[in-house]
Amino acid sequence: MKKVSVIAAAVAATLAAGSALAEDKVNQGWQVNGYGHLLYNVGQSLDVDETWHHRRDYRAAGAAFSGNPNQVEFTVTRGDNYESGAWSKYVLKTEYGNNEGGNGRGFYTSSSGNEGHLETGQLEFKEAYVELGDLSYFTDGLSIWAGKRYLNRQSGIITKEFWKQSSGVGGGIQYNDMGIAVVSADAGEGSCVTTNGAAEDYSTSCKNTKLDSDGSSTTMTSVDFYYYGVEALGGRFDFDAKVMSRTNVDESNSAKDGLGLAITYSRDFYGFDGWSLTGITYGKGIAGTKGVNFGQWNGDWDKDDESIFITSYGVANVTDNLQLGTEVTYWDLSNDTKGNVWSSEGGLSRLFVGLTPSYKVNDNFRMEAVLTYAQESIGNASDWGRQSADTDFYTATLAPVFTVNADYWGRPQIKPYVTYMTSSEDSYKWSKGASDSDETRFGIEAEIWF
Amino acid sequence: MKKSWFALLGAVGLLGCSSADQPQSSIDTTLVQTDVCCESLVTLPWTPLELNESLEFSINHNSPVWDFKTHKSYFSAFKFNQRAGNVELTIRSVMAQGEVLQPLVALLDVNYNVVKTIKSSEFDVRFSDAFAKNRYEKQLSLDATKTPYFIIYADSSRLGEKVVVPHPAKLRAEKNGDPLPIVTDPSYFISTNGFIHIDVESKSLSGVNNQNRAVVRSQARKLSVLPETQSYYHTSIEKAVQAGEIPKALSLLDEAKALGIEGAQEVFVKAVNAK
Repeated sequence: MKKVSVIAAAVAATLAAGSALAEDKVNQGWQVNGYGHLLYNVGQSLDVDETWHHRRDYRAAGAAFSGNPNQVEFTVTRGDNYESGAWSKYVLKTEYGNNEGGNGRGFYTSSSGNEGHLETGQLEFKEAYVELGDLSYFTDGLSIWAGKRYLNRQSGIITKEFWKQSSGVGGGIQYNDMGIAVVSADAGEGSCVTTNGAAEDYSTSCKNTKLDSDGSSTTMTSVDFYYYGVEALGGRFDFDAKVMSRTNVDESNSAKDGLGLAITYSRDFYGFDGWSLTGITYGKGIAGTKGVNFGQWNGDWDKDDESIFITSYGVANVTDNLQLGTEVTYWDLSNDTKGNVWSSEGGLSRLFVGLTPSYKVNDNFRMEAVLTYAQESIGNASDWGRQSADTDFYTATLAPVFTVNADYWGRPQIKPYVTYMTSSEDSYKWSKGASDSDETRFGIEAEIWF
Repeated sequence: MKKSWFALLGAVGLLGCSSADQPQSSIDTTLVQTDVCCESLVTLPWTPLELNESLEFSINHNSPVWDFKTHKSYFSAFKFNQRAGNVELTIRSVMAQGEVLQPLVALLDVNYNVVKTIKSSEFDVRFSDAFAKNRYEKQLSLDATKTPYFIIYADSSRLGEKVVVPHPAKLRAEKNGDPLPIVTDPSYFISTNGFIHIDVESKSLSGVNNQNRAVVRSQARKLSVLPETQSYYHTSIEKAVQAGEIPKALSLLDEAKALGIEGAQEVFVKAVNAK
């Protein structure tokens, strides 16, 4: 076998992290990166509750469960290294076409203009922040940042759902692998939520739907303490603690405080060749969204809501051509004071198991499958109008992946797929107006990275 | 901050004995058989650079060959502009078409002595973005009056080995907090051939000290001239003067001086006086 030298992302990570090892601490100069995701469900465009909601609620995963028919992202980064050893980094990330939230809907447009109004999926700034490091009066390895960003994100490999982040506007200090950050987010979505697309009141911005009676914002804030990179047990441990609070709310209606804790363990694939990551989190109050997943989506919890979230996922290198991605996730929600969460007595729990084998036929062609099983357990079947308190969901996706070799700009990939989905609950419909609880969808997904 | 996690991930990333054919050029037997281009470093084909210039070119079997003490290699040789003082030189060896040249850079002083060699391990790896490909890159701040010459050539210590860089989807996942996707990383064979891109930016200017340069020139060009060549020039100068072709004689005299032929000046003067 020929000798191979792997220039891993470790190089990029070292350069980006401001490590004292590299002479240049950040990539000097301008860099423009991008991503495009295009999804066509053959014959019919789909609403978010026919796609993304199934994935958001840990019932299904795969190409068919994306709410974004065309999503484009550009990131502009500028790095500078100074003779004193200091460095600076500016990051601007823009996105167009993310409909997963609010009143989002997949909508296949022609080129006539006037694509959207008062709605999701517009040109948005995902991140815009400045980071400065190793200033002459700092110790080496110390950096500060301010702006809008999603800090310390993690998501599952099959569900692609984020379970850890602090996404909002704020600032922080980082020293090597540990830091403190303060991040704030206003609850709800910026897009309007009304019937049939009309705004209730044209003079009121849709960003003002969660104000208090005086018109003040009810902003949520998370103070993050994190300590990463503790080497032990053949892997690496990361620790997070988030103390959350919210202004101008009445605790009897909405949670005013929250606490989230997480331990993350990364290593090889449970002793085999590959990689894996396991996270255990606890959350209370505002931190009910998986404990440490903080953002504008944390606004609907009750003060006594409690969340326990466990996830473990990774990729095994089975052979040179076969890789297997796996994910097991368990999320339990309870409220001992109120006695129910989302009208489910005693709370609810969601278990998700997914497998994605990927076989490389050659450098330009792969065969991929995504198989998922999920079980959602509620207090009583009648709480949600179901046949049984435990509902099983099954999906299977098969996709040939056409990709190109090293020299193509953007390394594009086209993936036609077929997905079969079913559940044990007759009344659970995957699409609006469907007559069966099982369904088959065909589509094509394309992605490009540069 | 995710250094060690990614070192771990990198180490177990998608490797494999590729079934792809190795490009012929990566183990170039013709290089071994090709003679060196020139007699000495002085007579290498030096490409003169402007004060500020950007060049893209290939180093391949069409390039000249030189025997750098450790190995033979195709090369490109450059000379900074005479008016340049401090320069910033950026050298990039681009990974493309399945192969990459691991660059070595020799810096030479005014007397064509190699004073410094930049090793390929000193180059940074930069990943592709919208405007640039994966590449080795190095920025140098040099004094062009002290090191006016440089040569770019190939490091052949790891010829034929594969270099694997992360797929851009993995780089995006790292920045985004997404898990590493299952994709095939691009790989390139280390080759004697490559695509090079250089950027020269002169930060300051230098005046030229003519006296120094004349001295340097005569010292540098100490060729060992054949006796036949010397007598040819002496005879030709005499004949040209006798025939009244003074411009021709002066031209021959200049040539003789450039080659360092001794006595040409005296022959000319003697011939003119004899007329």
